[in-house]
Amino acid sequence: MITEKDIYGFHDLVGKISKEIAKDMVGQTDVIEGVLIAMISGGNILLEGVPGLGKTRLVRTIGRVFDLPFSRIQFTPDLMPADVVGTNIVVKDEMGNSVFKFQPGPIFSNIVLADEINRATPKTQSALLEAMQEHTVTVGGVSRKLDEPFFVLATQNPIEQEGTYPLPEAQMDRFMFKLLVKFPSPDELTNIVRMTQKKNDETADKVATGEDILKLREVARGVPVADPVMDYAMRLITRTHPDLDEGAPSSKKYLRFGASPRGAQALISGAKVRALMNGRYNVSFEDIEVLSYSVLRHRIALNFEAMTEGLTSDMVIERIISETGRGV
Amino acid sequence: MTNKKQINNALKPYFKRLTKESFLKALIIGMIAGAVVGLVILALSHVLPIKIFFWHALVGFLISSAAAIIIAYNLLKPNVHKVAARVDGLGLNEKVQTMLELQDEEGTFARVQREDAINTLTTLPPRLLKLGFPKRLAAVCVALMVAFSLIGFLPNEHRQELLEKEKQLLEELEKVEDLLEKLEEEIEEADLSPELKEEVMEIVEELKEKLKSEKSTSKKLSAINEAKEKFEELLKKAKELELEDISDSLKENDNTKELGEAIEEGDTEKVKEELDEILEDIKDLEENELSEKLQELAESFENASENASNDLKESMKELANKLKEAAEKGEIDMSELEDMFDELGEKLEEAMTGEGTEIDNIDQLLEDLKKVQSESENPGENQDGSKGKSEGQNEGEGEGEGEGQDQDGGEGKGGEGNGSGAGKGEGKETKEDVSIYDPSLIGGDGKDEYVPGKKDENGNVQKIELGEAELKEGTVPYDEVFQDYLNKARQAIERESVPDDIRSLIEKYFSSLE
Repeated sequence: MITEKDIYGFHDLVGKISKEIAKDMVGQTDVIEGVLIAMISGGNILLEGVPGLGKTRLVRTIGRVFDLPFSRIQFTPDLMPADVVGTNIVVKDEMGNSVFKFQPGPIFSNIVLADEINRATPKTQSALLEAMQEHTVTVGGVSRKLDEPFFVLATQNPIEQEGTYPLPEAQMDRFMFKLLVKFPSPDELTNIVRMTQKKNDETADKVATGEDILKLREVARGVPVADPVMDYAMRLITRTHPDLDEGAPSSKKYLRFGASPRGAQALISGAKVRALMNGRYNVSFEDIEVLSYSVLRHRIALNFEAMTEGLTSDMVIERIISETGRGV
Repeated sequence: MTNKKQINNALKPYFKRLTKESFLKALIIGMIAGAVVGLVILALSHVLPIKIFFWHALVGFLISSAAAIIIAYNLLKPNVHKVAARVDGLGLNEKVQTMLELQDEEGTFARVQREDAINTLTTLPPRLLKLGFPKRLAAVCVALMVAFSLIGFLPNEHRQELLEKEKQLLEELEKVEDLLEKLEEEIEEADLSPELKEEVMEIVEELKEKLKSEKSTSKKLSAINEAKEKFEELLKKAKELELEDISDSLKENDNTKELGEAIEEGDTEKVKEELDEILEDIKDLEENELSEKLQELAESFENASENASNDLKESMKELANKLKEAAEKGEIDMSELEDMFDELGEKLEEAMTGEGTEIDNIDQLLEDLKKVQSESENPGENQDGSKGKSEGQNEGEGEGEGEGQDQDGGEGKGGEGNGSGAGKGEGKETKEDVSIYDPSLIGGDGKDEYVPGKKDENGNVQKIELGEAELKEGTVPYDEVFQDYLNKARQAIERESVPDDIRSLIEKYFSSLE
């Protein structure tokens, strides 16, 4: 049961969390906001950025702020699925008999950082699928539920493409957001350097728990969405499809395929959280438009024409937004 | 206070502002529509010969503007959802629209959201909602209004013409009274039975009443038509009765029995044949039979004349007197008798075909009345609606054979001839009521016509047969025909409103024929 206190408390708590994260993270406010929205919504995140921009540090800080255990998996081509989900090993019991015992992999954590996920083979990448979607892991015919909240934060390097295995569309669709980690500004860079020169540079404290996240998630689900806003969000998703009559002209020109219904769910869930984070109790057009980049950029596929014209997914999304119109 | 009321109160100031905006837009749209209608009306007044004044266009402008304003306002007037969307546009992030959707809900979120939206609304000054002024529409409106005013005050040739025609028309209409008076006089003077006269007068009285009471020209015209129809019906009946009586009277005598039967059958050819036969019989009579036979014929025609009217009566009486005179003298001038028989034949034909009666004058007056009235409906136009200068070209070929008898009893046969011709004509505008004698109208499918010619070198009278017309038996002297036409033309131009130049043209034409 949601109370007024829960609703009014949401903004305060998220404010505290953001403030605490900001202690250890300089800049990257959009990324932090995106990560928090996804965490509260119960989604996973794909971070794209060159190494050294603080992705691991962000995960570690979040873990500390929420007092949640986190694990980091460095994906490499020789990484096996069992290295991720765990395996049954033979051990001696008290009676001296050999028995199989499940040795949990690093996936058994609340926050998982899948670093450079595109370096692992598709087989290993797919080991994450069940965990990301169902929050369960099946090994040796036995399904094990992961602790809630469960949150996967994967990273990939956009520069080095040699020896990588691009994520299949099905797996990409399981990431709620794809966030782009940009290079910090000179001021931010200065602050980063200063901060890391201190003896104990990580000072963020625990301000929330895993239960708090679950509570925030429950509260966010209740945020109302007005019909025009809902209609706008759905039109936006529909218009990414080049093969549909409703498809936007830019979609028809530059896209191979559009976003899935999971994208629509992600858009509305994220918008609800964003509204509350901004002290509102309803979803606005702005929430939809701001989040549509994070939600759609990995769910649409550019065609050859878009690539030859040097367009990015974000550019096409921007065009689709302007072509769709709010309809008010 | 209910949620709905609370929300409506919060939105009221914005609602008022948007109502003003919608009304302003509707007003401009309405004026544009009105100006377009006004311009169309004015444009028509410049293009078509319709009596349209500026005030007509102004009325059109006002009515269509009012209608368009009402329609546009009903389409544009704000509803609560429109207001909510506009207010949200002030940076309220769809708070108001969401609040409206949740107005009937009492959940925690709905309550919190509503309170938040209403608090935001109450702190927001309504003036922030700027009234949208449709600049483009206003520019179009101003341009159209200026055009409307300018075109409205441009000189209009059609309108000027119409005004002049209207003036002429009023003058024409004044003639109606004169014509009606003439009509009554004609009826009084006509040699009609008192019963028939009374019935005709009733028709005329009824017509007078209708012409006074009816305001529209078309109704006046239909009243005249109605009177004319009644009059013709009456005339037809009267003629039928008259001929029936004549026929009965003639049938009583053996000598004129067959003539009576021919009249009864309505066969004009047979009537002529019978008259010729009577004439032949008279020619063949022996001297001892002559007196008695002529006496019998005279009595028969005299008795028949009692039932006849007008010229026919005169003709029959004259013939009867002539026959009596001949019977008494015991000798007969066949030439004179032939002429009288011919005349009687013509009069009988006229009576049977309904021509040349006293009533024709009345009929003609009714026609004149109708023309004056139709002038008031279509002033300044010909019957076919055309006006102005006309030009025509025609070509024709003809072939004819002539046969005839001259005044002195000589007979002759004209040579065969054929010819072709081409002509080009140019004519000025003429009114439909102007009757000009035109030889080309003779012949065709209608009434049989012929024109007797002048004597040729050999003393033969030439005749010209035209079209499919059949030649009548015998000939009529040129002077007689000419005089007859001349008289009719003079009567016509005296009675009808014939322009002076046309009148002189007709006179000139007839002078050339003399």
